[in-house]
Amino acid sequence: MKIQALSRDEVFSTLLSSPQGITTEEAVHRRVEYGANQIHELRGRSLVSRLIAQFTHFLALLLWFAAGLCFLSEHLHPGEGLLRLGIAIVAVIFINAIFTFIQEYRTEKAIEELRKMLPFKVAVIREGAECEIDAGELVPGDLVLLREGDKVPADARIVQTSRLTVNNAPLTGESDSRLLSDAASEEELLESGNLAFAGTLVVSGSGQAVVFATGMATEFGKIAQITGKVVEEISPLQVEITRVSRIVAIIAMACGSCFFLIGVLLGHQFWGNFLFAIGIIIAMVPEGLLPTVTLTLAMGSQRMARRNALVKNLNAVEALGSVDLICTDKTGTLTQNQMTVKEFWSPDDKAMACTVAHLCNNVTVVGKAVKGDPTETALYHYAVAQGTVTGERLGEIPFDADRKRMATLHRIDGKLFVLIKGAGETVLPLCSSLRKAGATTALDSSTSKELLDRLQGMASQGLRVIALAYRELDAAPGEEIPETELVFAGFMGLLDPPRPEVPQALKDCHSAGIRVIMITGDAGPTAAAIARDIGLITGEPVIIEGRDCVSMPDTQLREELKKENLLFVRMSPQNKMQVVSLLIEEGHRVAVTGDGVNDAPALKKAHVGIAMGLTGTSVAREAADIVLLDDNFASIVHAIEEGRAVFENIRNFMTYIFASNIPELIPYIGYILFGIPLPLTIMQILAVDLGTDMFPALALGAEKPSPEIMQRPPRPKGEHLLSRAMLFRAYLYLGPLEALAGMAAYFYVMYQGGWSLGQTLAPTSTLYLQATTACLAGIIVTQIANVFVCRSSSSSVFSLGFFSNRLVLAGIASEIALAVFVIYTPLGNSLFACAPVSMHVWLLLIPFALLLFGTDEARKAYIRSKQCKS
Amino acid sequence: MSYCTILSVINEHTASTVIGRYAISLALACKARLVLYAAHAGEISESTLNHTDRHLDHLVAVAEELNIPVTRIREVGTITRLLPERVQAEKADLVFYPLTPGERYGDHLQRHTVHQLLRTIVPDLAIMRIISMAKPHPRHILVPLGKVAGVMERRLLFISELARGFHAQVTLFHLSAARTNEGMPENITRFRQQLLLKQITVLERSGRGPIGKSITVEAITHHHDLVVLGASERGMLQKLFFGNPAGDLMHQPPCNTILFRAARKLP
Repeated sequence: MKIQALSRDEVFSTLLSSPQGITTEEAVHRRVEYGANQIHELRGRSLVSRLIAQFTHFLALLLWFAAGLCFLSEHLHPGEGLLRLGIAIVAVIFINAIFTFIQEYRTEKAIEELRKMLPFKVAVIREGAECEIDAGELVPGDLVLLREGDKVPADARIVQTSRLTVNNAPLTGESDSRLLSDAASEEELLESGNLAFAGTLVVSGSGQAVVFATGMATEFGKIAQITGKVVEEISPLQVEITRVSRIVAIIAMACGSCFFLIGVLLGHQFWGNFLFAIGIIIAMVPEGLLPTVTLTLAMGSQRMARRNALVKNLNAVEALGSVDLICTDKTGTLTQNQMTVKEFWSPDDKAMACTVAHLCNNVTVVGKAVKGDPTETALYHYAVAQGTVTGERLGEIPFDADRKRMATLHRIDGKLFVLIKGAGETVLPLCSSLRKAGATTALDSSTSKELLDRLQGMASQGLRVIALAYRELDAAPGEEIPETELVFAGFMGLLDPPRPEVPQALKDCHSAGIRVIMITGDAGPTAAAIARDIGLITGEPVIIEGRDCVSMPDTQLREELKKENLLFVRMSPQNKMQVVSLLIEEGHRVAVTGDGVNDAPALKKAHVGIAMGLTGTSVAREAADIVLLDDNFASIVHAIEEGRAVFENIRNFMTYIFASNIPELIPYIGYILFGIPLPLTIMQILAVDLGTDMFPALALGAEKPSPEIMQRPPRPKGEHLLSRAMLFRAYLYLGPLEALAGMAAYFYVMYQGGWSLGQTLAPTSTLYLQATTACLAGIIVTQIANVFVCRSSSSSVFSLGFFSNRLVLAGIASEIALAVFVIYTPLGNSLFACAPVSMHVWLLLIPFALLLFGTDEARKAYIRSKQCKS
Repeated sequence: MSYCTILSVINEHTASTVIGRYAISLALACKARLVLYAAHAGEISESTLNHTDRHLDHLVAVAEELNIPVTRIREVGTITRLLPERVQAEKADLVFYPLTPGERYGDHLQRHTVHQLLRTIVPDLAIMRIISMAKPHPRHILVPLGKVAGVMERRLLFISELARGFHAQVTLFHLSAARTNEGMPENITRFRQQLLLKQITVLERSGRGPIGKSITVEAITHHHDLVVLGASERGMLQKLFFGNPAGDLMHQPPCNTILFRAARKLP
């Protein structure tokens, strides 16, 4: 026993209501019991907790730890500049947290958009009298009055109707309006013709309905509930950054502990040794990594926006690059969403068929623009192209999803005509004759079969077939427009043509190892025809309907998902959500497109939710990570290319950043183990990590995608951002070369100044300041060479071109400018404890930069030759 | 084995009429006797009493129309004291109790009536949270099962009788983390087989992530009418540290929800 299956009296009985409605007192009781008729977020994370989360993720914790160590060292050993470093690290955490928080806050508005779709006031009958109340005060059992233009305030069962037509598009995505009745129905809830749902719109007519669900218990509320409750997949980048942070933390702690132990074995004092360990840990923490990653993602999102993909969630930039499966809609994404008449067939009555298409049509013509339903617009354009006719409309039975046809009563040239257009299967049974050789002949069984065969033939080509028929009347009819004994006039086959750029985009996906699955609300033949046309499927399609998804056990559906040429048709957004969940469980990284209100859960569930910017609802747009500004599938593929480039670029600048940790570490080791004056101060480390390194690293983040990036399969799930090869390259090869340069410059200045091993120097002596500055200069110069080297892990800079990424040049210019500020200005000198160094030092460092550049070019050449051989 | 006497608590809230209808359908399927029971404190308002009486009248009429032997009882006094005695006196083997709007299952510190009844009611206890009056006959029942499914026999009896009574399909739901290489956990497989033996249509589904959220998502995406949860077996401390998914679900359910507590053995 379902509410839609009950008779009118049973409805009142079950909902403890009556044709006079409920009493105000009863309404108060029920208001307490069921709560307000409102959409609200269910125990969502508060703004405060979301803000706190930005300060407590693993990398932030690592930075807090580093800052804490700085403050501790400052306390134990004041005047080393560690206080400034600590403050700088805390500032980095704050700036990054607030920037990311603002980005994420903007994405959490889906529920707010849902709330806006419910009305504010509603007319109800209580105690037999009509009154207007706040929609929030509505309770189950209330008798609501629905009139043309109203938004339905709650889920309600129709008990009285006068041609009440509603449009369920906000809920189901079904664009056709439905004529509702008060008769009992055995259909499922959303298919039932006697229920009106919250958030939908009354298109015409009026009626009365008893509310059976309010607020979060409505179907609309459930979308809000599920949108809020869907467990969003953690983006691959978030996972990787956490992993990188852990590895870095382990390496830093291990190094710190090792050298602390060595110090103990060498008999150093405890506190001196402890401070040394802290210094090593701080040197190993890449303070600049967090802001560089965030800014790189932001720059990536800007590049995607230029390619019509507006990024709302920064992590989606990289996540899109990692997807191996796209679940896409058909209409508007793969096709143009512009219906056109592709085929027209008429037995011998073309003029009359065009008259029906022209006049039995509800498009609005404003100047040269024709507005209305895409199917009607296409029919209108085609008919007008054949010649215009005029007629006076006297009556109309509007189109609805159940009848699947529309009828009008027209006076044309003084004669009365009933004109009917609609789905072939509903119009053909109403026809009794057709025109042949200028005469009207009765439809016999063979002619009927011939018409049916033609209808099916056109449908199998993927065409949406509209049957056109008419009847001439002798006199004006009574109340109802007669819809029988029609003369069949013809079929018009319509097609939404594919977007021209889609076949190439699908080929790109194929070569990039990305699987594409079409999930559409359309029927199988239409979907299969389009899929074949654009090259999505090559053989016999495996078609799964939405209702099959519901009845199929998970295990079977999992098996079906592995099949080639798979098409999901007649799918509801709930079915889509189920498919997406299973694909994620199967280990895929999934991107999903959607436009309707109830696509919101699937958009949130997917690794990357992509909403349609032109045709999508605001709810879908708010739930998605990316909004396509042109609704075009090809834009997704372009965005994937950018996403893949972002991953490569992050890896490249991580190599760059990590390499500079070694020349920051080695001076410390020399200081402790060999008793030399500390060759690089903490403030100079800060100058590198948060100063000179930042802009070149950002420039590496803006590197263009390499031409072969879409020729490779998606990166395997096991492939990490921080690989062993990358760590070896940064820590055991690039880093030591930089350290060599820094220490060489340091000793060069020290020996030139008359220093001998074992001699101590005052921290403020000019010689010491110049020597540490020379060490800093060594790092800066070799990092300039390193920035070119890190643009690619295998391609030569000569093939990439020195000027192809102008931001790198700008980054180097900024690095040099910062170096000049730190080394040659009094303010820079006092802030970073530096002193100007002579030109000899720079000249001494250039060979080291060339050495680093040359050896890495040789390494790349070796790798390329190995790749060629394999 | 089946239920002989089913007692349903009725009060001034409309939700109790939905529960009453569940009890009626179950009594019809089990050919059991039905007791519709209301208890009110002495100082209760007349309006509240009228509402309760109206609900009792309505349900008695429905039950009588179906030829179900029905007893209507209304007493004055506190329900926590009277109900256990009445359950014993009527020899009820299943009790339906509707959560009132302010009550929250699992919130022991609030000392709600439900927590006292959990301690004092001996037979099977079905605590219900109703959010929709429109589904008096559920057709799709979702049964989440964890690794530990508690006293299986009683739960099996309750679910199979519900499914039989409503001609409903049962979906067994578990978290995919509980899935082994061999397939479903053993207890779920056994549960499924026993339901199949009783000729009940059974589907299996799995979800991912936090338990409560997964059940909500499953219930909404597959249009389940009713969720039947097992009573939480977590202690106070466990609930404090690891949460109380059953309590959370009962507080904000995706559809009408029953929390089933199997009959306790008398000390």
